[in-house]
Amino acid sequence: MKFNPFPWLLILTILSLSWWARNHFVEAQEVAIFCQEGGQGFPCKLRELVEKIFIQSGIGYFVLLLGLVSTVTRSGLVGLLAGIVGVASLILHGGNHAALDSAALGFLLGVLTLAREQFDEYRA
Amino acid sequence: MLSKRLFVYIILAFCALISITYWWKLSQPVTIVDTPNDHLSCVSYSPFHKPGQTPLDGNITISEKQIEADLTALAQSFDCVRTYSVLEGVDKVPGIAQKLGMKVLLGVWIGAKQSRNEKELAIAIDLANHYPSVIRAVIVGNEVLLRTEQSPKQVSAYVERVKAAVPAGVPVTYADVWEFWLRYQKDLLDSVSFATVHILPYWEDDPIGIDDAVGHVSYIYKHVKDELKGKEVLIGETGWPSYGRQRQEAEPSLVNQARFIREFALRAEVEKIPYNVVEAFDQPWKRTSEGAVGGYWGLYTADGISKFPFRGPVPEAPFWSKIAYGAMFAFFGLFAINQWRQRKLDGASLSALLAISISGGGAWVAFFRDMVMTNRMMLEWASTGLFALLLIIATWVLGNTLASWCSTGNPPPSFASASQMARWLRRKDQSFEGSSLLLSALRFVFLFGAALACVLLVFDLRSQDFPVALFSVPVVGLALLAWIKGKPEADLEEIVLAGWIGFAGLWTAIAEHIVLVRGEPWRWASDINPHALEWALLCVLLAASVLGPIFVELLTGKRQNA
Repeated sequence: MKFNPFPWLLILTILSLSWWARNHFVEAQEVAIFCQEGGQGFPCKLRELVEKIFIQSGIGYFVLLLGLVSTVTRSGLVGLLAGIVGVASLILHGGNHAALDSAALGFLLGVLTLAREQFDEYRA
Repeated sequence: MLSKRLFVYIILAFCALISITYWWKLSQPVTIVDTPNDHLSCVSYSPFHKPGQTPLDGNITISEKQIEADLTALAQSFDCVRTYSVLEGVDKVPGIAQKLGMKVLLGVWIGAKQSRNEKELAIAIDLANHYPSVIRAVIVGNEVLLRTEQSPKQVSAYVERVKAAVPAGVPVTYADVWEFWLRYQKDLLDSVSFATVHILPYWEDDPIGIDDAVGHVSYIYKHVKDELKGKEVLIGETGWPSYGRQRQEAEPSLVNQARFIREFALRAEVEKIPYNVVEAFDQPWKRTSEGAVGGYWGLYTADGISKFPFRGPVPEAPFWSKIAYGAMFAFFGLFAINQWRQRKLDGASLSALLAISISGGGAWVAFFRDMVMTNRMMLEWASTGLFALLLIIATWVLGNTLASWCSTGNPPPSFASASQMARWLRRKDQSFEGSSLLLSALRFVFLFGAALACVLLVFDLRSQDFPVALFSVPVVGLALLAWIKGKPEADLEEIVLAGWIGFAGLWTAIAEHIVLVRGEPWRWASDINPHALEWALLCVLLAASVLGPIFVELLTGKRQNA
């Protein structure tokens, strides 16, 4: 069995996309002012979406739940999900520390489970 | 063997020396300049300093009695207070201030919610008409542009509305950080009576150390005045935190806070700078959004106790120093009794245990102080309490193991990996002894904890603290044990965690020293943050305790194959 880099590349891609969205839309002063003055379009919709999903404690608890489920069931797929949603939450948390702390824990549990599953498959 | 033992003794003695020097320094009074008089100009007053009080709640109302008690205490040292909202009971401030002979910079909270803004504006206008001689100015909006909750044009429109509705003698202004005032001056300057700028050396994009802080505030004040074409400028917020995370060279401490306030008051008097210091009382609720440091800008504690006098020397934490010495003594007593009962007490183990007690006691009290200063909720107390307990267990187990090795030279118990421990839990592998399992469990918990701290630091470097006190003793102990044994004892989980910790520790140290200012190329910070470097060193040590023996074995194997 060969090492499968796809899950890790996916997590890195989500990390890059989240970073891009944060710098170009969520925290960009010009975009914020444009949207505050009633502007419409993709940047404003994206800002609204990020605020609705990621600047809430719920998303952090969801990642933590995914991380715990992946650890207990030893499911690499759930671990990958925790890694993907977790990395996005870590970047887009917008100062919500409850979301950040629980997302960090869930993310770490998820990627450890993913690594263990891949390693066991590789060894087999 | 002898040289190994000598090296371990040197490391233990060095750590003990650091611990005792650290606590001794915190107990020493530091001489700083006195304030020019017993009264300062103005102070930010937010009444949400008692347990459970927060303006984020929305439904809370602070009692008139509490506000009266707060303002009576503040009237001893300040001529005026600045408020931030007129809701949640704060509308009582002008009436009480009038009785006490104080002035008020009346704040109107402008946020993203239109309905709340309207409520604030209506009450503030009413108050300004009712107390024109008490209200020094109305501040319409605080850092609204920084938070991107309204556009500059909207802020300007709010200011114009208030200006038209209050008596002609009441000035109207808007407050924001100085960079934002300069950035949006064309939209704001014509509408305000004067500009209110915040100059906080600690929060600058390029944080300023305490030595240059007052000079920086004075320089920025003059710079802003020049840029705003002669418009009057009020420093609406300046100050220094007494506790929290160090940002580059800007170190929060009680001594630094006292020094900043006293030096600034003197400078402001000489240079005739109008100012308001931030803030009256520590605000525990701010720790949620700004990290621990957010809750420690007060000149009074959350309980209403003055943190330092305006004259005379100031010690940092003499009370905590005494607790630390007590903890060192208690650790040593317990270690010595335990060794004596097991008939293992000799000069070699005793000297090792003395050094471990000094380091362990000092680190434990430093962590406990962090807990007291940063915890707010039961959940935080529960999680940090668990780590405090783990730190005691780690000091105990690692201390006894190291002392025993120093005394007898017998090899310490081996480490089981996480997968081996999982097999032990499922009763598939019972080959490990209790002492080995306890050591292994401690190693995994501290590896996982450090990896988690690294995730938080990498993704939220601005507001996370460096948990040096919690990890210093376990990391040094684990690294020494790994070095003594010199053989690889790790599986995938330990390797992944150690690799991440090593990488993230170095990343954090580098990122902490990069300065990013809008519109300027990045540059290195002019000074170092010792806390970031200490954390990076601990991370590298912890990573090396797992990965080091593996690398050594790989290299030795290659050499033998060759």
